[in-house]
Amino acid sequence: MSAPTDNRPVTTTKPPVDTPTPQRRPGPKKWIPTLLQLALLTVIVLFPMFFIVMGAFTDNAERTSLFDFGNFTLDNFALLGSSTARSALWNSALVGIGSSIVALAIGCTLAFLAARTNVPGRKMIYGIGIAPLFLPALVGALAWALLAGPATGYINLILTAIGLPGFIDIYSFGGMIFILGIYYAPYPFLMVHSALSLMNPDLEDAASLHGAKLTKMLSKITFPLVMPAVIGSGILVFALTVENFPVAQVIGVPGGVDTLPTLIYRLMNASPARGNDAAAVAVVLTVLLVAVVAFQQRAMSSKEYTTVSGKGVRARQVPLRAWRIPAAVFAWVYFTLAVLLPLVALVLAALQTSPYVANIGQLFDSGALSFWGLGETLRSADFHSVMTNSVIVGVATAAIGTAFCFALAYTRYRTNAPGRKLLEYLAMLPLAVPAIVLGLGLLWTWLALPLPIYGTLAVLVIAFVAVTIPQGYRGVSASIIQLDKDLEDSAVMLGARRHRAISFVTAPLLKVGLSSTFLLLLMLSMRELTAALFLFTSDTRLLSIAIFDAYDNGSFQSAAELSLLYCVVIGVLAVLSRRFGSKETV
Amino acid sequence: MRKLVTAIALGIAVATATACSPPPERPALARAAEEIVTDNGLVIDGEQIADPDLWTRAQAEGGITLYSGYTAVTEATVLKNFEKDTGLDVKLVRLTPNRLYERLVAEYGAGRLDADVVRISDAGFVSGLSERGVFQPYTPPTAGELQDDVVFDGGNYYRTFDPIYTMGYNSALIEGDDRPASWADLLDDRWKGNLGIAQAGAGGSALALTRFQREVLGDDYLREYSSEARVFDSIGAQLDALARGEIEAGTVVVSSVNIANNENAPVNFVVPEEGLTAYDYYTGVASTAKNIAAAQVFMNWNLSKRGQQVFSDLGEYSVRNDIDPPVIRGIELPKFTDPKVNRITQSESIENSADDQEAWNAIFGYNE
Repeated sequence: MSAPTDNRPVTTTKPPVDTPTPQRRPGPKKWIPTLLQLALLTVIVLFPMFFIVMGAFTDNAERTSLFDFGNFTLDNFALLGSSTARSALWNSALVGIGSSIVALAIGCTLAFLAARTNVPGRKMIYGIGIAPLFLPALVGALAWALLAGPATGYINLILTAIGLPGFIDIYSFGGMIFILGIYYAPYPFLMVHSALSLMNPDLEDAASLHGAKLTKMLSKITFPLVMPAVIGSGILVFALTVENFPVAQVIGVPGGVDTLPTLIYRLMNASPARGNDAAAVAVVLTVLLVAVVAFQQRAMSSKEYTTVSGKGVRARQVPLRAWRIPAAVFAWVYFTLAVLLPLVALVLAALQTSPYVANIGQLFDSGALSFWGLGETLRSADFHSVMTNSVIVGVATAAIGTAFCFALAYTRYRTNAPGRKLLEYLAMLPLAVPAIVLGLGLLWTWLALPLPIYGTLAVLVIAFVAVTIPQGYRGVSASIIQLDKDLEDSAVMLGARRHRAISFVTAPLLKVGLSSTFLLLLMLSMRELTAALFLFTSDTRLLSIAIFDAYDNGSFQSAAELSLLYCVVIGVLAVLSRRFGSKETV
Repeated sequence: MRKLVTAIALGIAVATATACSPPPERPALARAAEEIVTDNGLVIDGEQIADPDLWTRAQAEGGITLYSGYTAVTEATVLKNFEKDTGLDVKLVRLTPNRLYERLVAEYGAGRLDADVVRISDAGFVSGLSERGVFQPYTPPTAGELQDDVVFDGGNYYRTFDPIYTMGYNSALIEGDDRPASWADLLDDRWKGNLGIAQAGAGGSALALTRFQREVLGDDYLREYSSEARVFDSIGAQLDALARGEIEAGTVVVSSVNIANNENAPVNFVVPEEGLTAYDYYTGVASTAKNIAAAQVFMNWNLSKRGQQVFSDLGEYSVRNDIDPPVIRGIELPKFTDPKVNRITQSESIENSADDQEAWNAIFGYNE
């Protein structure tokens, strides 16, 4: 399967060629599937945006009914002139730039090492590159708060124990950039790794034949060729980190660094809630991300023709010589910082019998650590309920999302139905809508619509389908455009009805693509927190929500216990998905 | 590799075997009911909580859904006692008061409110909900010996207890003479960067504290405090930071400190020389209640001597005259009528909340 991503796809596909089957102009009956899909997308994507935009431009903060918007006003945007909003905007931009640089530096270096060098343990380095994807950013942030909290963080306690002053303060600008940088490095890693691996070696060979030295070849040929992937992934990381809520809330807010998503969350949590102001900030954040994502799409669209060879020839390996060991050390240090240390911190925090640790030696005292609490959590009905909810929502999102994405991609690339380009546009729109904004809009939507969905797991499935639909759509459409349509058409010509031809020819041939998309959506929805924040009730809490709640209610220890179990659940799913994926590809 | 995995698995197995014994039993926070009789309805400690008819109906309903803004761990302890006493289940929807209010308004407006009982702080919130019709009037037969200002809007909702908001410290880091004795002590340079406070918009509690601080200590005090303190989104998050030693002192609620202390957290509270504040927590039967009998039993239990004793044992002021002030961790809290106790009344709270919120935000540079 594709490696799981947070909110955005990590691989790009060849720009789809718009070659629908030439057919007669469709009759009204043939419009029905397209209209149905448009209606669904309208409900899950456009309605939430409608409520957000209406909220931003109207003055009724305390609505007695949900469509009671009040009068048109621009006053809500006055908040943007305040020092809080200005600094949040500024912080968002700086955090985005800083973490993109860190993520690019780590991701690109690891990608180069894994794809093109003779670094020791090259295969392991590929695993290191993607490993942090299995640790949700929320968990990473909580773990780093435990590791590098200024007073009692484990690292600071160790530093104090060896006679150094404990000086690391994760609750800072630098801390945020560091955490976002290390947890988003897998995105550039995957994109640049794929570009480097698929690179046509002809140009490099030509350079060598003409006497260019290795360094010159790299700087003049190799690096310029992967530049679109580097820039594209950098912009992607920027977009993801600007809209990131969990790290900003757990690390930024305690350090006095507000960002736009935390400002939205806090405005909604003000007393009374300032929904209209939050909507105004949401509109600004969305506009910002629409622009950034448009840049990203542009940067990536120019990538393919320069790098994909399709010849199946391996690009040449670069000998690292004296740099072999330092390069391997770099990779392992990254693994230690992004995965190993955070997991150790979570284990320690989950096992501590007192929340306070005066010095690191205290952890070795008799009775300082106990599995009892963890065992109690494992046995508690509450944990079973949130885990079951997470799995139900994950599987349902993956199943419905994959089916829906298949329908969308099929309509887009296999029919000449009117409005198919609009379908694609709507399917990709959530890419630019921050999850926190989508969640807020969905809350207002499902309270307004006369369907008894609010307060059920169904509303979470809808939210997660909406958030993950761009990834799913990209996954399925990448497969569908690679599949020759003649096979399905042959079945139709031989007398099969179109839906039978789709069910018995096209869908089975797309089995690998569809199963990868299913598993990708499953992993993404297991990790999702932000879109569910305004939508859950006590009956529909998920693992991610339970962790955030524990943190928010002031129990780091419960948050750590649940985070560990969360990682185990995600790990099990990852292992299952790898096995399942490999079977499919045999 | 396989050897390494085996070694790790063995290590974990050994550690599990040696570290899986249960921790020492912690003392119960609230004393148990002395006598529960169900022959003729429900009678607890000699007081009729439900007559036979109500008791039969409540049992048939099986329990209630409670929407509560009360601190998660404290509410859990109260409900544990209620469930043990009555056998009725409580399905809890717990959110911070501000988020709860927003949700109540949205759900009620959409005709989707599932609550049988609503519990919320903040006078503005509760009166707003009452005006919208979220509550239905009910008079618990157990509501005797009540103090003034307990019944509101003709029995639509009741002040059910008053949490005590004061200051506290990490008792592992701060010992002996270093312990602060007054609010003024916290302005000493020694605390710079080591103080915490929960934002004023977190709910009725934070606004009550702000009212007390502005009225008794003055805005200059808050200004100076703001330059030394870290702002937390909720009291819970602040208490956790205090327990972990990330801050050394800050504002705390007594019942939360009591519960955290019982779970090994090195936190304690102070009754400062300048006084402390108490804020109202209101409970009412929802107009949308489906489990009306069980909701009424819940209200009866809450205002009964037994229910009020549970609140007092946890560290909240009772709203009855026949329950003593709490004694928590060996510290005797002043009487509710003591001048040191600044209860912010509903009218005071409503009158000042917007101004207090604005002033607090300006002083702390928060959400401006």
